[in-house]
This record gives sequence, structure tokens and C-alpha cells, in this order.
Amino acid sequence: MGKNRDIKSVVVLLVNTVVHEIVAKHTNRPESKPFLEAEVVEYRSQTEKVAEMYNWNQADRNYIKEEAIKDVNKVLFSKYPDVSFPLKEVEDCVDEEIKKLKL
Amino acid sequence: MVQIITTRENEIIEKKIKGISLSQNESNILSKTVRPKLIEIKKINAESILNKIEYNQKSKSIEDKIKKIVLENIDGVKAIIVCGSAIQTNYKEYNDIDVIVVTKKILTENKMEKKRLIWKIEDIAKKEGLILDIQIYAEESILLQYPHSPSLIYQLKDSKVIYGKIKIPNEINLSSMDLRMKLDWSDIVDAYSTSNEIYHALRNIMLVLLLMNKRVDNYELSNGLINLFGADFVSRLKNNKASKGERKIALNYIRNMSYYLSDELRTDKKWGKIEISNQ
Repeated sequence: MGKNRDIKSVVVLLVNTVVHEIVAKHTNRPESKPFLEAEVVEYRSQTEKVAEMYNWNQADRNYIKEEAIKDVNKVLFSKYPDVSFPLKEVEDCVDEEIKKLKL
Repeated sequence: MVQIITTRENEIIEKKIKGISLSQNESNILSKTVRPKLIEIKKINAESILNKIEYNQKSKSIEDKIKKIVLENIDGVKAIIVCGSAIQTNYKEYNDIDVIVVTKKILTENKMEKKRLIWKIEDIAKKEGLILDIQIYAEESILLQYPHSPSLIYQLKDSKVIYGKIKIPNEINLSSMDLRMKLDWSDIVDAYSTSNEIYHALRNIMLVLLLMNKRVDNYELSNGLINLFGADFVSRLKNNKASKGERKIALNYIRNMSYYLSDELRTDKKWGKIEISNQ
């Protein structure tokens, strides 16, 4: 389908991984945690599938990080305003996920 | 012949429909017997139940094969559950067989190792003529996830334990958060997604909608989409044969519904806790 298209898929999936990770960590419903954590694993595995199709260069990694941070914040504020979290955590989580994905 | 509505009850129904006035006794029969019976009948999907209870000699041999393959390759199996279309159609119409293997303990923390094991078992099954889609859960993990996982709730609704024992909780306690998380899966499709990916996103929306209405019914899940878009449209999406225009229509529906449901779940307090009895 092309690298340009797949880089966008990586961003979307990475965003969902991080959003779910943050929500799982800060939700006030501890009983939902096992399910939310399982969802994180599922999104991460989907992201890996797309990510391992290419060799990503530094410019790609920068683009993915920048877009992901922007979109995670957007999704968390619009869809999960009831979840409060430290802003710095978004960047840390995105960095951590990029490391795990070995981009 | 078995009579569900007696001749007398039928006469009363006829009179009511024709506008003929009923005696006090007839009115009582109508409200205390006829209406409750009809309400109960409405809840039953007779076609689906008949399908499930019909004897199919293939089922035992398929289940024996699955048990043998799983038990030979996984240690500490607590239960083997078959679910999905294979069970819903009594092994008559299915593309693959969904199998949930429940282990007594966590098999491995290494995700890749678990994946390799699943691929190995699926390969062995393929050689035996079975296309399996296997998921492995530790008992503790599946029991913790079940009341909050929309997918598991639906998968286990029509399922059959073919080996061992597992007690699925009767009460489902979903929160708005669980459903919003599920809805997020529908946001990953776009104009470049395959028809089949769009089909799954649509099904996901329908599943959330049904759970908001406290419905756990796989038949309704499949038919809800068919009623909305028509059987041909849904079949083309599912089989990756939809046109660009059809994909666009489905995507628009997904976007609008996802936005609407997500907003509704977020803003209305009544979705804070959704309790469903799974009897």
C-alpha cells in the first residue's frame, strides 16, 4: 500500500496504544484494568505488524513521534476528558512505545 | 401437535383483533396468559436454536480432533472452548473455528513465544483439515477480563466447553469506559482500509450499540448489519468485494455512529455502569 500510507497507520495504532495505556493507568475503575491492559497488548501487536514491514529512518521516527503526541493529546481531551493524567506522561509513553516497536 | 397458544386463547386473540368486546374473564386471559406467552416467544430465536440442537455427526469428530491437538501441545489446560460461527451454525457454516484455550496458569510472559505456540498448533490443525483461530488465556485473566470485555462477552455467549470446566460469571458489569475503548477499534479504519476491515469496524459499532441496549445476541449482531445495509452489501464487505462507493457509505456510517455513541457514552451519566445478566 506504500510507506506513506502505512506510516499513518502506525501513527493511528500507536495513538490508540498510548491512549489506552494512559486510560488504563489512570482510570477510576480498577475493575476495568485487566480488560484495558489486554486492549493495549492487542493494539501494540497490530502496530508491530505494520511497523515491521519497513525500515524507518530518523525523519520517519520524528514524524511518527510528533504526530502521535499531537493526536494522543487530542483523543484524550476530546474522548476521555474524565481521565486526568500528567501531560508529560504522553511524551514519555510515546517514546517508550517507539522503543518497544524498535522503529 | 404441540399447542403453544390454545384454541380458546386463539379465539380471544381473534375477538380482540376484530374489535369485538371481551368479557372480564377473556380480558384476564389476554393479559395474564396470552400477552406473557407472546412476549416470551418474541425473545426466542427458534431458527437459531433449532440449528444448534440439530444432530450433526461432524461435530464430535471435529471437537475430538481439536481436543487432541490442543492437549498434546499445551500443558496445564483447564478448559477448551469453541465459539463463533462454528458453534452458532452447529459446524455447518463457518470459515474458521474460534477456539479459546484456558490454562491453569500463565503459560509465558513472552508474547512472541505465545504467538509461536499458537501458530504451531494452527499449522498442525491445518494439516488435519481444520482452520483454527486460537486464543490462549490464563484462567485468572479470562475471568477478570470477561465482565468488561465486549468481545469476550459476545464470544462466550454462544460457546461450548469441549474439554474441562470453566465457570463464566453470570453478571456483566460494563462501564462507559469499557465501551468507549471498544469503540476506538472502529476509528482505525479509513479510505485505504480493506472492505473486510471496514466490515469488522461496522460490526464493532453494532456490538457496542447492542450492549448499550443490554443485548448480548450474536444473531442480532449479524442481522443488525443486514437490516441496515442489506445482505448483499454486508456480504461484499465481509468478503473484500465492496466497491469504493460502498466502502465510503460504510465509512461514513462508522464515523457518524462512532462520534455519536462515543459522545453519548461520555456525556450521559446513565452509561456509568451497565449491568447485564448473562443467564
